[in-house]
Amino acid sequence: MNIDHRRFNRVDLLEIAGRVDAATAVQLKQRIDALFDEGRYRIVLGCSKLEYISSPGLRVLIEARKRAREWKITDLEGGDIRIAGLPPRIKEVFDLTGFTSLFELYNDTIEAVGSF
Amino acid sequence: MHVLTVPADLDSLDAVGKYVVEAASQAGLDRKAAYRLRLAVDEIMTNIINYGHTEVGLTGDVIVRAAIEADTLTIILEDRARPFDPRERPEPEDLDRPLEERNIGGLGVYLALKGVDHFNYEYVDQMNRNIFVMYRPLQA
Repeated sequence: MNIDHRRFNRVDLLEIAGRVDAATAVQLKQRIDALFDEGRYRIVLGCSKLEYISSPGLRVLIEARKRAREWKITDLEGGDIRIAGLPPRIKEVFDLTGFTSLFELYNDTIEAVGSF
Repeated sequence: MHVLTVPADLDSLDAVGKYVVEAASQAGLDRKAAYRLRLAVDEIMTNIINYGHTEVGLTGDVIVRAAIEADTLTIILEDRARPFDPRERPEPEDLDRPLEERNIGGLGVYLALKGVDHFNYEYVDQMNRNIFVMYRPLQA
């Protein structure tokens, strides 16, 4: 797994490439937690180069989503984990697990970054 | 296909994944089916490593076999940890419930069992055998 980080004014974009499995999920968690530690809670995960994700990775996403959403500026504005460019094979896993309704999904990273 | 023997260690997940993808390719599975099979094997392999070995301080190998028959592709994982039948794990609670109330501990097994056409488990000769079967598409 490889993660590229780009910082924008309001939003941080993590582009994930490769595999997120039981061996690598902890690295993803550390990258997201590091953003939280800096007070950055508006995060887009770019997934167009994500080849594979198994349940330890899904768990990282769920926990991150919860923490991000706990951060609020107003009732209408706050933190979130939003997902861009999910490949169809992985979208199928999201559908199977009910994740599709839990996350805001976007076709591409520009749309997702702009959504905040 | 050749038999793959790897240590029961998370570093082996990649090699097992590649082996399954190669088997799926040889069997002519489409990409979605190949992905589901890989995910299923990976989830069960992760449990074998974490719960069968690391948590109880056991070291050992996992043997991975692939058999391509006329209409099916079968992948078998064999290990010598204590007997554990993944089917005895309860399914995750209602997936529509709010996340904060949900126990997602069984998510991996759920994905494994839902993703393949047939799953079987047996304990023979002091060995766990997790068996994954996918139907092969009709060849043109």
